[in-house]
Amino acid sequence: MDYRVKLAQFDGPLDLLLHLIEEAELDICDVFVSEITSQYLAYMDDLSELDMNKASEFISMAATLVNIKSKSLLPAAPILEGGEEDSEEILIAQLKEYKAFKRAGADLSLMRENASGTYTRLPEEFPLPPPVVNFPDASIDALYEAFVNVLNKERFRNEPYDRSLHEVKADRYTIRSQLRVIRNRLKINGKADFESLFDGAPTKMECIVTFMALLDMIMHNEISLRQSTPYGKITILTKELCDDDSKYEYMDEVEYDS
Amino acid sequence: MIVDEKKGAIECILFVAGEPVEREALKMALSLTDVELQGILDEMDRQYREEGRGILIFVTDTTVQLVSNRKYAYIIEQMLQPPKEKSFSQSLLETLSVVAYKQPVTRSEIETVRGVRCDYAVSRLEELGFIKEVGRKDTVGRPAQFGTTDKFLREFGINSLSQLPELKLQSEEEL
Repeated sequence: MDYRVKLAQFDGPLDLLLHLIEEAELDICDVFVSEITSQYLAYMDDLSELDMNKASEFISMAATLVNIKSKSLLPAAPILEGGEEDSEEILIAQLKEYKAFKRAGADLSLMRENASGTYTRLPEEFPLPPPVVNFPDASIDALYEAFVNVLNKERFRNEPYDRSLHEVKADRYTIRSQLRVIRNRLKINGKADFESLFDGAPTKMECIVTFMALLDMIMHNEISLRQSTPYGKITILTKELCDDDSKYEYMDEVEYDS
Repeated sequence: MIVDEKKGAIECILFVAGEPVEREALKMALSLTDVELQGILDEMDRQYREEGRGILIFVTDTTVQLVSNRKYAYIIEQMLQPPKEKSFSQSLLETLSVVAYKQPVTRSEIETVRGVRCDYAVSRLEELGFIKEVGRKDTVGRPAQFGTTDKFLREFGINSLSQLPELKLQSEEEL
């Protein structure tokens, strides 16, 4: 039996592939017209020696190789427009890049050997004492005076009594009312921009309740949301608007008469 | 301050600091311009080398540090027995080379090149002080981006990243 390096000694599937290619004295570009795929698969016998993470990396590569091989045996399928990049080309590019960095790593190792023998000191424990801050003019009296000045500042004296902090208002917006707002909006042309629901200057409470109403409507299959690109505009599409809210369960909301 | 005193002051700061000192800090402390500082550093470097001193200055694009002269390493090794630096494993070297050439680079970008998970190698290199987090990539999850450190330059005997050997993407069969 031929001498063979153990799978566990390879640093991942690319490392193994590169080893096989170098053994066979092949050019990276010729990898798929060669026996490399079957040689790679032969190594998979050792998989049980590896832990799950490493093993899955090797298996994933095996799947890619078999996929490429099987494609090459079948008549070429019509090329779909905007399809994925050719997996063969991707893998060849990846192998080339990996090889370059592997070589660069070997160069680095050499550089480090040549550069060894330089030592440095550890820093002094307290190389620079923290600067001492002095306040030569500070005294208790000065502090008191400063505080009085702050209290006497106009803005404190004239600040109006803030009613909002002392009163609890009834909920002005209810899920029920916002459901109506959204439905009316959708009745106009069947769809609406998500953001347009929050046009004007809505209060925080209005935004929250509108959003909750929206979630409720999705749950009841009244609407669906579409987003064509990540971070793009969200569009609300009508599915089946309800006219009565009998399906909705409300928290004990009281309609506010405005 | 005359030039010799400025040299002395820089030497003193570097000795006390031990670790790399920012050029900016030296400029501020001694009110020097870039050109003046560079002139003094060049002069110090030349002088130290010519006199075969036990210490040299190690200058990078942003920092300056005092280091021992490699010429006397064998004596240090006989006398003080400093811990021998271990050689790097292949996975550490490969990971380090990807960081060195592609920085700033995220862990998943390193993994794409190497085709294997690199958690261990990345955290080990960070622990050893050869790489550090240099920022966050502006993408989903804001992953950390890594770059090499001054220690990397020093250990590999270069003063700036531009001195790294060229990355050969083409295999020689194709040349």
